[in-house]
Amino acid sequence: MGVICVESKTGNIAVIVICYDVYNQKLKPVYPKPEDFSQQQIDEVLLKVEEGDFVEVTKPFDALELFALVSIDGYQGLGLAKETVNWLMHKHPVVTKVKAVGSGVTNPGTKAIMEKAGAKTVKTINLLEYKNDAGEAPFAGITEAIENKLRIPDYKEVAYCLYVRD
Amino acid sequence: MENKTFEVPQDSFCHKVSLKTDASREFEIKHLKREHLELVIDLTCKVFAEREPLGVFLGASAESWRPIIRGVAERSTWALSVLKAKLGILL
Repeated sequence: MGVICVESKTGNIAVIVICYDVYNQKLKPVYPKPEDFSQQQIDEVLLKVEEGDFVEVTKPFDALELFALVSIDGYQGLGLAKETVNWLMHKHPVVTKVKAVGSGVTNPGTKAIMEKAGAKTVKTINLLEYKNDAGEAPFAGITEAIENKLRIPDYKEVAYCLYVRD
Repeated sequence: MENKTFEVPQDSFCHKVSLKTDASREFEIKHLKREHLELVIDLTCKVFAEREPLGVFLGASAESWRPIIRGVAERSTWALSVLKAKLGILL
């Protein structure tokens, strides 16, 4: 179900969207349990934001999870990510058959694109207040760090965005 | 940013996009296929390591992303999706 947006002249990939079937993932996880500390923390907070009975999943292709929306360097700011997500949600031959498309979103730009494509933000976790299962606050100080490193102002939450087809 | 036209070819799954600001720059939205997989994994790992906020904050490397991204990307390819959809089987 994933798609890529490719520049015709150069063949370069400009945008990547990776997604998977939620029912299938429940039976056979899409990736191994992370061994790396940073990945464990990311996995834990994303599982928590995705937790909830947002959509009933009883069979394959009831719902899809949009795992990654990637704009490649040199192709940012052209509106291609938005166009690609719109096509995926509203034109893709398989995705248009599913009841819902969800995404645990860590980047405000991705959240805005999902919302413009018709998704609603159904849950958020404030990273400044968040405690992991061990009672630690792994994201304390993230707002200032991300403003300095990525120039994203006031960064403090992850969100679960959900598009439900009428 | 509404700066593009959006054409939908009738007999193809390839959808064309061109920038209104520069019509010579055309793009095609295509299904993610197995032949794209290694490049897609490499690019996604690189971008996540450089720009995914949680990972940047925690110091996650491109290689730490690789097993996760590989697992998800392999499940995301078009051939596998179509096969599953047509046969109604779980893979």
